[in-house]
Amino acid sequence: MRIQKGIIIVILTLFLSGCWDETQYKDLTIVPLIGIEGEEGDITAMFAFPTFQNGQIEYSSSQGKGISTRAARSDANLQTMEALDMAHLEVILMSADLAKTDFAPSLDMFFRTPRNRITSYMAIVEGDMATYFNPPGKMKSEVSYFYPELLRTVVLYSYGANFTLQDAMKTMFDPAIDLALPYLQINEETGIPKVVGSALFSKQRYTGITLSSSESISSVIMANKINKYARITFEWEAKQTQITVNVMRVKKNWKIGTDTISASYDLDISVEEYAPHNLHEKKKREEVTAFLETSFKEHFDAVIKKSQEAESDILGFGRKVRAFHSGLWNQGDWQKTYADLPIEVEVNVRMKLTNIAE
Amino acid sequence: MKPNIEHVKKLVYETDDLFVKMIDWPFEEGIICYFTTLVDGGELNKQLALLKRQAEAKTQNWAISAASSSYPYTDDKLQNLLSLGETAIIFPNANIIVAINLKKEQARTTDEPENEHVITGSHEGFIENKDTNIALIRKRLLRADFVVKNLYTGNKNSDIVTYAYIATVADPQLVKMIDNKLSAISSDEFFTPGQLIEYMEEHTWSPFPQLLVTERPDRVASNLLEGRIVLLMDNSPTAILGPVTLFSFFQTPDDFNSRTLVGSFYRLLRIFSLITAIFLPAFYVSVVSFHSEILPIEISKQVKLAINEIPYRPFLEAFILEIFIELIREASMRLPTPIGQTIAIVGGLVVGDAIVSAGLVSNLMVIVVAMTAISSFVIPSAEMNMTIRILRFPFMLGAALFGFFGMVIGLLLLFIHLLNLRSMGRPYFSPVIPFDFTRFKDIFVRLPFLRFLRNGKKKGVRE
Repeated sequence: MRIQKGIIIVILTLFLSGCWDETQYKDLTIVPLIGIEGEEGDITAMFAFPTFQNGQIEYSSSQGKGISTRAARSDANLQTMEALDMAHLEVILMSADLAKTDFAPSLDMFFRTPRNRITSYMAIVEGDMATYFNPPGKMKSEVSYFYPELLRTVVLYSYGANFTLQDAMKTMFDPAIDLALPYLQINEETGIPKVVGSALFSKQRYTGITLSSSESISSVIMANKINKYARITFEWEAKQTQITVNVMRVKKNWKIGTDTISASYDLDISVEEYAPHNLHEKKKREEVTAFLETSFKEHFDAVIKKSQEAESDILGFGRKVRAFHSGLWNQGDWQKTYADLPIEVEVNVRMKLTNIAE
Repeated sequence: MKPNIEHVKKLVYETDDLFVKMIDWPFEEGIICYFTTLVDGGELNKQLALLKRQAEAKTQNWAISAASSSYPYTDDKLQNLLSLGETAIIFPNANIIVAINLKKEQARTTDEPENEHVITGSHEGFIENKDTNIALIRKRLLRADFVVKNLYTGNKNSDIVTYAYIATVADPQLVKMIDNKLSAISSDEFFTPGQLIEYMEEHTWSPFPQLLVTERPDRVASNLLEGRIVLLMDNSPTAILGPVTLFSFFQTPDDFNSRTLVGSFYRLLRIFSLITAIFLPAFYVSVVSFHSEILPIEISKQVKLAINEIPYRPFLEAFILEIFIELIREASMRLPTPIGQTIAIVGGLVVGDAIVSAGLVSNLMVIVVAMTAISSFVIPSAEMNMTIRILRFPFMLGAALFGFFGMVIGLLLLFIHLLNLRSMGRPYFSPVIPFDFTRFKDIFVRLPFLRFLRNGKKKGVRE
């Protein structure tokens, strides 16, 4: 009797648990790349995906229009052979025009389904979305493969940090820090998409101001979010040479006063490229270090200047201010406060490696 | 009625291999009878000469020698002695039987068992003669507390089951329980070790073997030293060991002969193979039917490419291939070795390749099933091996119906079952539940023989 009861309970558990959500993998189309443009209420979404025919992988894309991203996806579903599945989404491209409006609702869809990845990368593109799906230049690989690899490189070489969907949304809705996403343009010469820097956001909107790629690296160094490499090249006009350094370690120290901030950085660097050699001489080393300190400071100042211009606190000074300096925080809208705050940058460089035995 | 030649013949239904003649003896005429097929005539003559000399000397126990003894005469006893292969000399006036035990031995050599090879260590194996088998064990356990007990079981009391244990190590209650259980067996059928195991096990319907079967004397000896009991039957090279736990089936004598690190690695590998052998097809089925999102995108493209044009559901696909592998295995086992190998090659390579190009099964599924099959063959015990291979089918079904959820439900049922199992009254899932850390770690690694090391350290000597 007890065994019968047990069996009935097990069977009922199985049938009542509602796990009938079988989705045969062969009936799905995996979408690694999605592009969203338009404006709230009139969204156009583009999907790039591999198709599998006769034992070969080919790539195709599909477009859908609708009043929301979900509606656009449903629309695209009607024009695609198999159902579109976002579980493998690698990259979300968003047009700069949409990013300038209140675009957060159009990303809501990605958080609703537990199957969906929220670690896909986000990037902002300039101009028409269709040109990014079919670039005018001759691409060596498919777009759905190109963008994820491109953005992985961006992370690896510290051109940007924290731009997965999850991190981006978290940053965007935090009043004390602002978002910076990789910014893509079509390269005029080659006709291939290129990461040209970072798009600066203020609160939930794109400001239209971008950092250049070297400034992007500087901003990542300043936020101490560097990945494996953070290489930056300086032109040394006085000596008519160039020097490339890799920042290995960053120690930042932000001192926040009542109406001023002083940010001091200790950078451990390795020299990656320096033609004049002879860095084993102490005098030469000091000379190079001094040059690097001023150059880094120039770059850092430029980042601060641009971000203040954009009212975009991408480095997150606001977090420390909110936590420890309520007087400054309570002066009103933090982005406005930040824009007018004098910020003093100080850089100390320590040359840890010259990478050559002389 | 006094027994005579005709009477003896009738007792064995006048079979033609009975030798029965009158024999002269110092004090009266006897009847000598034996089965010519079972007794060595030359040896018998020597023994008879010895007994005659003893009888002439008229000592009290003239009938007793190293190979003979005497019993009061009954028809039953005569039948029994003859059928056991002894030679009986009947003295009708004295009403006694003198039995001489001179069996002709038909035994092969004690070669290494085919299915339990080891790389280093003893290469002896049991044979179809119980006495030789016990000798092989006793040779390894030169101690007085090694006890061998014979029991006549079954209704005709002719099937001898022997159980042996080490008196100072084995639990007396356990010994008593085994004795009771064996004595309670009543069956007219001829016994095989398999039948005996069914009588001894408590859970006949469980897929898990609850007693360890081996043909290796060294394995038996080391298990006896750990307090287990061994059951032996005549005419069978199989020794049955109990009580055991699930994890006993995953150890081989090689573990203890190889180096600690190497032994541990292979022990871990075997536990890993247990997991893949049970769960890999189920895992694959649930991934492609339910949880495709867990695949990294690079693999997912290949998976998709492989399964995109397969007409069947993954479960059916897996089922076809699993049945196919089982067929190959069964066929190659039943056929003589050279043909068996051919079948394995034809089945594995040719048909495997053809089935993929025909589009019936995806090549990924072939990889999964092949990997599963190989994993299951790693398990040292043949019975456990079968069990594991049967177990994967319910898991595949669960996965096909409910994905990972179904697998978890299956796993839950499996654990409940394992926790309920007992081997000779001892918990089957033992070092895990009830938990015992020292033995628990032995499942995964083989540590150095610590006691030895510790003693060395205390003395500050390192040899």
